[in-house]
Amino acid sequence: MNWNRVLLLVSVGLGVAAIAPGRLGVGSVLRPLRWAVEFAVQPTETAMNWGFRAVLPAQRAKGTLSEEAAEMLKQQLEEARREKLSMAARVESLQTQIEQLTRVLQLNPGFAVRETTPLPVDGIQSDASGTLLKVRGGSNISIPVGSIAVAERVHLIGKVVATDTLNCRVRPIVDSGAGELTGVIFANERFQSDGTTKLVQTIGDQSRLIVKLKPAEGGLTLNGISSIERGVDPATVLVPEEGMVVRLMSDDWPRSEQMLIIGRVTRVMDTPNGRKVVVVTPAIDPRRVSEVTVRFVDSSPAANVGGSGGRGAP
Amino acid sequence: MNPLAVTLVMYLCLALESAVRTAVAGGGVSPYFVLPAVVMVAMFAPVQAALWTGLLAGLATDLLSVRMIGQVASEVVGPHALGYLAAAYFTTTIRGMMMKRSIFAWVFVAICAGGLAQCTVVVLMTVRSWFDSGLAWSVWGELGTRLFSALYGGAVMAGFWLCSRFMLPIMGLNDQSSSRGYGRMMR
Repeated sequence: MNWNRVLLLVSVGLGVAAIAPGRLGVGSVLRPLRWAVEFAVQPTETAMNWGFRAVLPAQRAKGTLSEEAAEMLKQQLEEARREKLSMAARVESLQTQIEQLTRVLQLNPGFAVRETTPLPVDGIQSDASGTLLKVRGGSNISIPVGSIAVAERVHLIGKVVATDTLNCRVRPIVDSGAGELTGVIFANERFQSDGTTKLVQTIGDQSRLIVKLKPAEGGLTLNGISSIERGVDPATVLVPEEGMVVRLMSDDWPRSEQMLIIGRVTRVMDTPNGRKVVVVTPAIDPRRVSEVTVRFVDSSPAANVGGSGGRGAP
Repeated sequence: MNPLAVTLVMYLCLALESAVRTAVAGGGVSPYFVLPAVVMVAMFAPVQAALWTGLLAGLATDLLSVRMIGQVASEVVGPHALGYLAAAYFTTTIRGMMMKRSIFAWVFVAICAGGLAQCTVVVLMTVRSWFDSGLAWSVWGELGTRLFSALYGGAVMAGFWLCSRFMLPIMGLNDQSSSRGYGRMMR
């Protein structure tokens, strides 16, 4: 037998098999041969694999990380999560501020109201007439007596009753010496939930109820009694409910501050004469507030030229 | 040449190559063991035996390397067989001109023959990929991986050189056994 010729023929055959497409089934003809080779090689290969595993350090599967890298990535992920939450909180805070400022502008168009930056409340002082909040900021930043202190821009805290160079004193609306307020309750507006200062407004019922409010004993709430407006059918008067919003509508308060939020209706009681008695609790407790914004009408000529809008105090 | 001893060495190299590919490289660049063994045999064995050794060792390598064609695991028979045959032929052709005692000559021949074998494999598989649309084949990626693996083969060949003092006698390979066939004809 000429082995050179056999070798040539086998080589040509293998060359054809090498480039023949799979659908011709050349490979499947040789499958038993493959099983035989695998059967022969497998035991030794497995034994060598065991040997390698024993000698070499454990190999990580492709695409996995070392423990240190995984730990570092976990830390980075946590940091990124924390930053994301922090940014979300900041965005929410800014959105709330924008909303509040927009509401203030809507409430009081046409007034040149100056507004300080939030001023820290240094503490509570008591005098013969009641309780006063000591606020850091006085005539040095042009705060006049009679200015209005608010929290979160729209929640009424009280009125400035005294100023000195560095501080001013605010009498909270719940203080016994604060006097009466007139408030209004709208049917289409209520607090989102207990303990929150966010409001929910609905479209539809525009009815309202006027309430005369007086500080209750203890200085935490205001008691109000409903009054029926002239020309309004008593049958159509709004029935107050818990959670409704009470806004300022007093003639003896500056016009620019009307519709600030006094608080939430926390209790409703009936009187024998058919009126309703409501207990109103400020959404932000005036005696526990940590900072307030002081608002006052700017009487300077420059402010009157511009017309409306609030500006920060220097 | 002792066919039994050569078969045993080839068998061990085949198992070692598969094991190392699994353990060390995980499918990327990994050293060849069979190809340097074929080159070593081709350096000393009679031409006829050397060529058959290359062909059969390559065929065994083909049978152990299953490829996915479409979604089906298929045997592609031929590329390694012809590649190793080419490597063996190359070695038998140049062995008359080399200093067989030098480790550098061994490594050089192993790398050159390995490169030739892998180029043959890549050419055949590339031609096949033209006809077989289901075959996933990246020419340059495969060529790069295989040529780097051929360089690794040089290191394995250096290991064979270190063991040659006792391996060659067992395999029945020596300078006298290569004095027949093409090597003699070339002289």
